Amino acid sequence: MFHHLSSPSKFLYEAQRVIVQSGAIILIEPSTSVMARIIYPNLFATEDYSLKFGSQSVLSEEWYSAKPNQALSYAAFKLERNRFANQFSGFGVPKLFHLPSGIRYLLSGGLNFRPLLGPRTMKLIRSIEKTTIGSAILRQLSLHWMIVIRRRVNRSMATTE
Amino acid sequence: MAKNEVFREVVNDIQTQIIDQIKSIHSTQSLRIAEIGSGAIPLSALLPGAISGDIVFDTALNAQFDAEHLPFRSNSIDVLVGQICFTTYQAQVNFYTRPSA
Repeated sequence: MFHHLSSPSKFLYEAQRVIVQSGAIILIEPSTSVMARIIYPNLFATEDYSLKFGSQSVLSEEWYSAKPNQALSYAAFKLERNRFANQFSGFGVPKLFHLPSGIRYLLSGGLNFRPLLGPRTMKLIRSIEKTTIGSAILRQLSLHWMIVIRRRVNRSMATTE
Repeated sequence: MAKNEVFREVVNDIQTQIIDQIKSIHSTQSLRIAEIGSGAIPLSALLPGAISGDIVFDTALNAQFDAEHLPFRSNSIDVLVGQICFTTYQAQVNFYTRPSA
């Protein structure tokens, strides 16, 4: 969802307004793992996936994009982490967790293709995802990450109310 | 396992991780959860009471709104969720009730 926004700052100001103290934003977005950097530009080419952003901040109120870039969360929450902290002081530091299901998501065929592996193999991969070591390895090959941004408690809020 | 059964399981696992994350943030039962950009696989199917909306109308959703102009009062939502987009799911039918291919 996030990478479809034409103005990330408008959404984040709105989120800061409506979420209660100690509440949170939880996003699932395309990640920037090694595999993601290969897969997204080639297999999910209907939308851009570029890690290069112009000189204007994607968190700027003037920034506008009519075309989705699947790497937008990388810019907003990693590249521009310091700006995010200053501009959205009602929120804490965004935490990003790579999800281990990237390989399985890919091999499932997604929305458009047939599964590349049979159900037994898929179940095997799923069980590996649930082990500590398997999960750690598969997170390096993630296609998505979970972004968790907590609303601060008892702090002056910079909202647009 | 039919074609989209495999994919469905992956999506369910991702949504379960979202729900686990919500539970780790708040333990109360009566959370006010709003989902933005829900597409055709809304979280409200797994979390009754959640408001799942999208800027595009879909019969699987219970609201239509723009994430940049949220129709909620200030300080009224506990968790705002935005998951990966499935708006291109064929025919925009309910993912959970659609028969397997």
